[in-house]
Amino acid sequence: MGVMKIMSDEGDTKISWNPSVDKEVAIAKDKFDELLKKGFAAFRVDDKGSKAARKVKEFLPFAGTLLLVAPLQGG
Amino acid sequence: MTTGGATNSDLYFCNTTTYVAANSSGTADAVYARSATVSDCSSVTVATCGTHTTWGVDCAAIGDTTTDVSYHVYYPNKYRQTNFDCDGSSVTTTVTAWATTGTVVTSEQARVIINGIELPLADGAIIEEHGTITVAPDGHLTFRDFYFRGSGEFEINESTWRQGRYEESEEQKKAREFRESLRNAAEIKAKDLLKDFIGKKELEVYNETGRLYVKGKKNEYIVRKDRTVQLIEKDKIVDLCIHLKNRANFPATDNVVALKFMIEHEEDKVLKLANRVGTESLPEELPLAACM
Repeated sequence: MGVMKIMSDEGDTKISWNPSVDKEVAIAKDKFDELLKKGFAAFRVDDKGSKAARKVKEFLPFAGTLLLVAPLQGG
Repeated sequence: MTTGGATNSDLYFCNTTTYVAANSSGTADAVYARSATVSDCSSVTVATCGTHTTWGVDCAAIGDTTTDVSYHVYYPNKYRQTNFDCDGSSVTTTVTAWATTGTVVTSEQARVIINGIELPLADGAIIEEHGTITVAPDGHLTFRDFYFRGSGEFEINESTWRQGRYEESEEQKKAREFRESLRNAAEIKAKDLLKDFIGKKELEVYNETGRLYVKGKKNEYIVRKDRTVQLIEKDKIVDLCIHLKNRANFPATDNVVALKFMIEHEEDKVLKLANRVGTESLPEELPLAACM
């Protein structure tokens, strides 16, 4: 099962998908692409901590867990 | 309404029962109030008394046959505000003020100070005969006596009336509590997310200190909850202001998580975006932070 954790005002919202189900993959990919266009940064994460994470620019159906980090700005 | 013959822009308050006036220096002996029924201020006159310019009421003009007028000295002048209106999102009140140079006082001349904090007036804000001071939603405004000082300045201290937030309806209170509970729930989720990356033990340190140590490829940082990021240089600490866009829409700890990831993986971008807002000398020992 793939999970995308997206930073939001609710803490983080989750979208999950079954990599074997095309429709679910398509929905997740659409969301991923939409967020990247808005300036989100995507990281593939696992249980080895954030440093082991890898920045990704394309949706990976078999990525496991993706974290979508909202854009930053200087203050 | 005529306002007397003074040439400086001093203010008068006038209501139907008393009036007060001050000169520009605001000295006590130049301030007078008349406890009498005054239907308007048209009979205010200006006279010179020694080195002070004073204002008084021409008793005969208002039909008061008493020649022995008692003047009450008020310094500073006080005018109690009683007419507050709250529509659930803002508090307004009206103040009555006249300037000797005309019937309006503009923001260039007038200042509003509430509990010692100056309330900025919009450009060109006009406080006319019945001026309005508006408090922004969720503003904490408490005032007791509304009064003015000389030189076109009037000041609100405290009021026995507490409006807006403190007298919210039951419905407003429930709505506010609901919003707060959503924010708290979001922050709990954000901390759960952080725990995924730093573990339970370090999360406890973060909960206690509000600080997270993050090592980039080039530099070390302390990411602080609700505060600037500290870049640790060889001989100093630099405060970097960088945060999530629209950060008010996110729980505070999501901001920390975002900075952690971006520092670890896109450090150059972080350094480019951040504004350097201050420096301090490097302490002997850095304050405790999670993941140190």
